[in-house]
Amino acid sequence: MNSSAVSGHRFQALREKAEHRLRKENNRSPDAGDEDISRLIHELEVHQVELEMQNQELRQAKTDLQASRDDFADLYESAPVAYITLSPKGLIERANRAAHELLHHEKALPGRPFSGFVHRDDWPVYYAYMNQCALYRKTPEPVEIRLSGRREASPFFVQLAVSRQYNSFKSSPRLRLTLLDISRQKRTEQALETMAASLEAEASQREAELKERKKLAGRLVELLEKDRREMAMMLHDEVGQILTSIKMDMEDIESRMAAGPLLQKLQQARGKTGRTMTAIKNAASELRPTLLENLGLIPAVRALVDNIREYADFDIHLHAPAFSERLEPEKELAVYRIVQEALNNAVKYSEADAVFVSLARRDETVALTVEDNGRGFDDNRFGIAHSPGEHCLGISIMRERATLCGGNLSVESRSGNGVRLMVTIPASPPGAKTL
Amino acid sequence: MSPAPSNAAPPPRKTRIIIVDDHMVVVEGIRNALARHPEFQVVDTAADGMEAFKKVRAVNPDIVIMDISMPNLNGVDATHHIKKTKKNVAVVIFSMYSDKEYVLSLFREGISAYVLKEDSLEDLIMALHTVSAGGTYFSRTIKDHVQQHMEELELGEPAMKRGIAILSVREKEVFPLIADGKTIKEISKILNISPKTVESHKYNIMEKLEVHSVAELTKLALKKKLIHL
Repeated sequence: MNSSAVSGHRFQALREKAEHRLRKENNRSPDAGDEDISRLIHELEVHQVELEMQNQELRQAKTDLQASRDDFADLYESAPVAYITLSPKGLIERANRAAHELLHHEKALPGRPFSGFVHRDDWPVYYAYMNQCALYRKTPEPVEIRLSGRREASPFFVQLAVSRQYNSFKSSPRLRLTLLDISRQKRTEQALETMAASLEAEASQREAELKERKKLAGRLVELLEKDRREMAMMLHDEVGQILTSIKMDMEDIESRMAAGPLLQKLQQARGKTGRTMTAIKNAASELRPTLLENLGLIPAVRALVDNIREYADFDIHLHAPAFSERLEPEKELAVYRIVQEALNNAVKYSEADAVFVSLARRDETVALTVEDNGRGFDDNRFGIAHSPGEHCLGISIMRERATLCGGNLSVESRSGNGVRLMVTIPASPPGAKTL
Repeated sequence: MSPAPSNAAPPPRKTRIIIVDDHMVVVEGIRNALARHPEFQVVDTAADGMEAFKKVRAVNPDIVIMDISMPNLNGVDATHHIKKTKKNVAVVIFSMYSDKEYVLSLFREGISAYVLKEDSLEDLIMALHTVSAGGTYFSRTIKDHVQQHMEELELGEPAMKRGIAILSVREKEVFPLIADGKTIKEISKILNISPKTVESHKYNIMEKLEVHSVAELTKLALKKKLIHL
């Protein structure tokens, strides 16, 4: 109303101006000739044509404009992105089809406050965002908020962008909202996050399991050794000593007996007792090498190698210079057991004719290598060529023993090229570094 | 080394003995056996190496009958300490163990006799007689070990002379390459093994051949005609 009144005044003023000018011109040449009149008519005719042409053009322009407007309206309507225009008060003025679909509202959107569709929890974000735009005239980066309004019960995520829109100079700006449905993307993101979290949980569980398993493996080795030690002590301390004393008693009785078949029988029994003692002692030594405890690693390994030489099909070349000082008992036992296992493996699987054992202390490291010239195996993860399970377990236990001592073990082998086992173990106790 | 006949006149004074064994039955068995020999007097007993060492210092016996496997201080270490502080105290090992390593290290400590528990008590008595007369006595198995070791010592040659035969297969491959001045990296590439392995081979080779520098290795390799100038 207001604007049409203004344009009405302006039209009136223009008309008055034009009439005034016409009157002035008529005054200037009151006695114009025929020639002038016919020229004037011509002029008018030309002018009329001109006007008609202009009119035509205007009409064409109007049609074009309409077509273009329809085009844009169609574009607006059928855009896959939801557009909503808000009044300064935040009421929906216009909304395209996508917006209707997105909000899935039963009734017409115009006239409703948009904030009603925003999830309550996201109101702070929404208002802060809108204020930035409306009050501070900024065009902030799009935000992600949740809307509720679709028939689905759960709110969904959209990406919200706002731009200011001026319809005319005097009216306050409208805000145009661009809403992009990112619920699927969000769901994927969430699924990914859930998956990542569960993977992470699984990984950490695996790690914990692995740790636990390592601890168990270590504990198993410890238990094994403890059992062996107890068994050995039982055999040596109980059985062995009682047999010793029985044998002494027998000898005592023998010395007081007259010669005869009874004495002979007793002497035979004493012989058997002696042999039992030897068997018990050997069994105990197998379980717990007393040499290791009493003399240390190098003499024990020498004795072990001597012992294996007796039944192995290969030569054992031992290089083991004496250590200047003893290692910690666990380390001595670990290295001893590794040598034992490695040589027994060689006996069982290698088909070698020579095995080289080198055990030396170099500064703060004890280095053991056991190398054979046998058939080896192809896979570095052990045990393809022969009896995988047992061999692999053997190596695992050896590795476990090395790890328990803070050392490491590596095995290198290629088919037809023998096996080479390398172990290094720190000689000094961990944390007791010399200054 | 063979047992000396013990039918000589009894010594002017009794041989004073300490029995060391962590098992009462054994201690009693020995004491029982010695009871029939008035020339011996058991002055004390001990149940472990540490106790034995203390009692030896206090009592100053002629002979210690020593077990090997014992708590606290084992027989080998106890013998070491006793022989170090009381050189004149004779140690007679009476043990179940006949391992060469025990025999040799105890032999080095200066023991006078080594009798196995599986032998008869008569052997122990004989050993005590021999030792108190100033001799040494070793059970048959033990004597074999000592003899074998002596032979090995006589036959034994320095590693250099034994030559490269003591090197392992891989070490024999690595040796000429090191001697030829190749770097660890180069050798690792040539033989397709890890540098760590090459390093370990190098250590072993130098240790086994008792050389201390690559120059010495080269000299040896030239001598053995493994490399040429």
